[in-house]
Amino acid sequence: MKRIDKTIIHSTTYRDWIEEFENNEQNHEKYKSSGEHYWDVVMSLYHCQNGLCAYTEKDLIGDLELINIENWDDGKYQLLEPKPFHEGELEHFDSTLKPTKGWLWDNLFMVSCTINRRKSTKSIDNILKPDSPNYVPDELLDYDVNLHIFFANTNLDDETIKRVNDMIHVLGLNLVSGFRKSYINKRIERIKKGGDREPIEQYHTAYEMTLRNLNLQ
Amino acid sequence: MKVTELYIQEYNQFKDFRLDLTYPEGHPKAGQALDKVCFIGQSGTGKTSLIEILKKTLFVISLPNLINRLSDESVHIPSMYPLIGLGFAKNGVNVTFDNKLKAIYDTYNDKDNFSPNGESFLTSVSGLDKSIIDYLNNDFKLFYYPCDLDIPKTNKAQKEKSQSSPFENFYDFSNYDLQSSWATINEAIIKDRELEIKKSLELSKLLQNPKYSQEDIINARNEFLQWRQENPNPIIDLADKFLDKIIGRFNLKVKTELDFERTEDIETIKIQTVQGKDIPFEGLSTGTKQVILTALPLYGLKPEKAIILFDEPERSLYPDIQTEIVNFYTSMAKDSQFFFATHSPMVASSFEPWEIVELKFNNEGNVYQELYYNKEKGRHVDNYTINPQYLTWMGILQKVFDLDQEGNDLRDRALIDLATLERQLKNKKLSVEQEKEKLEEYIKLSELLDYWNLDSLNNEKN
Repeated sequence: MKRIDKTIIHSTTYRDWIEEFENNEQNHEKYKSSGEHYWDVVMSLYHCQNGLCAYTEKDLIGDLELINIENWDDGKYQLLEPKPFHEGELEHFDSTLKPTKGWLWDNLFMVSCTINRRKSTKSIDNILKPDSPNYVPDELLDYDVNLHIFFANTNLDDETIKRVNDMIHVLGLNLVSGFRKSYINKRIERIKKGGDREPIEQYHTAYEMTLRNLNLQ
Repeated sequence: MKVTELYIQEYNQFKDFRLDLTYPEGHPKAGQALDKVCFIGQSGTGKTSLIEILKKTLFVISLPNLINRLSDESVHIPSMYPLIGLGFAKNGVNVTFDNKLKAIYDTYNDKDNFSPNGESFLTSVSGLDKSIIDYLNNDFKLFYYPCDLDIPKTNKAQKEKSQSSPFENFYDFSNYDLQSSWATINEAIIKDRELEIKKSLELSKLLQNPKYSQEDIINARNEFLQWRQENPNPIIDLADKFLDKIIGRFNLKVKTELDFERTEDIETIKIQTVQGKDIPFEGLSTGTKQVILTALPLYGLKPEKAIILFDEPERSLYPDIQTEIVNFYTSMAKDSQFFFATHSPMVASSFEPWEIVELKFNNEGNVYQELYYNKEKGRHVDNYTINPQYLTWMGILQKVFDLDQEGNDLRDRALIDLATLERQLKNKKLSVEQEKEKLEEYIKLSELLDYWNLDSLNNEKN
């Protein structure tokens, strides 16, 4: 799970709309996927996340052209029919905020459908919030190159290790371990046999940690 | 005749949905219709709907009266909207969609029974020629096996069959009970028995006649044995070549020693334990009944160039049988095309990648086919990246059935703890006491997870 910079919101109409609720300390309009700003939020998040699942870094859109800045006009994403295909769902990091702050930018991420369904309303710990300024992957996470799973950096104290490991589980960071294993091992095998380094479109953090743990950097 | 393409313009969750059902480029049968097709996908994606669409449309195209009328070019059936079309190839030879046989169907309500004359939803047919008409009228057979095959049917169901099926070569096994299935083979058994008695009598007469030499008797006996070898007793043949191979796993076998003394002896199939104890059909498990009820008509009717549809053939079968069931059924029909709808990774493992049709929902709620090859590179065998025949069961679950998780939730969490323990042990920053404690914990967890990282243990030693 890489750190996500969400400071730029291309959908400025959405940004202004949500700021008004915040400035007036009002509850948000009820969250629904048919909401007027839904696609603006989705595509702006994808832009920040580079089309990847915020937690697993699985590619959810395939075509990066979909999140090219040229798709926005006058602060709105230009939605064409048929609507762009993607494999993600809009996720509320802290699900307790959904009833009152359902459109809060800081609480929203695009994640794979399975992750969203599995995480559901599980309680969270901000220690692994991908857009948090305090979130530094290398300080908190390590990667097992045999199991292809993330686990807590063992330089942390026992209590923090448990908090991180619990959140790795809640966010489903290892739910894609089978796919990730195939994706990464294929590339590692090629490097070990002296082949070219294949470009990486997804699972960047896991891949970089694998290279480091195998001294292949 | 085999289906080479299925196109659905708009029907329920299908919109502009096209399936290429031919072998891809680079395959020895490139361009020909697939011998077998496996529909997989989440519940609601339309696997059973596709089987139903095939059943209904193939039923209609095969109605003798309709085909004969359609072959008369003066008959015009108006074009209607929306359409459901099917392309066909004859004898597995691919034809261009519009150049051979193309049947176009109106949409229909699948809750209603389809019209016996088929005109309610067939709107046009092109590409019919005399050979196809002869084939459809005389040789074509359509088999349909529903998922609830084992549920005993009443005599009422028998009557409904005769009323609802004007096409005698359409075998809808949702309307078949054990007796109906047995009837497909019983006649052959009786004929065989009659012939055997006749030949035995001839042999007996020859033995009693002093004018025949010892050599004549030996020759006649050899002829009898050769006949028996070339024409095996159907029930023994069914048992040895097919059924016993599967039901033997359940400690069962087909009773082949029938004495023919009473009518009841051959009125139905007899199943015994391997030890020879008779088991009444009603006493058999659901899975056993399903295998028997499926295999009997396939053996009895010996379909050739048929289209055979199966909905969930894995039902009530243990995984080891599921891995074999596709090859078992397909071995019982020559040059036929099979369609299976399944939820089973074991069933899916019997298919080549191009024979799998994985259905998925898109964001609009419509269904599309997940491709196992890069569309830009083209539909060539070399471009397929998933082959269920090469994968482990876990691999099939993950790559074909899109199951993200390797195990259940607790395993997922425990693996994180295992990786943490392993790294802590490797780092050697623990006290002797802590190391001993963590190692015990690590070994215990490894045992529960059945995961042993030998590389790690070796590194530990080094």
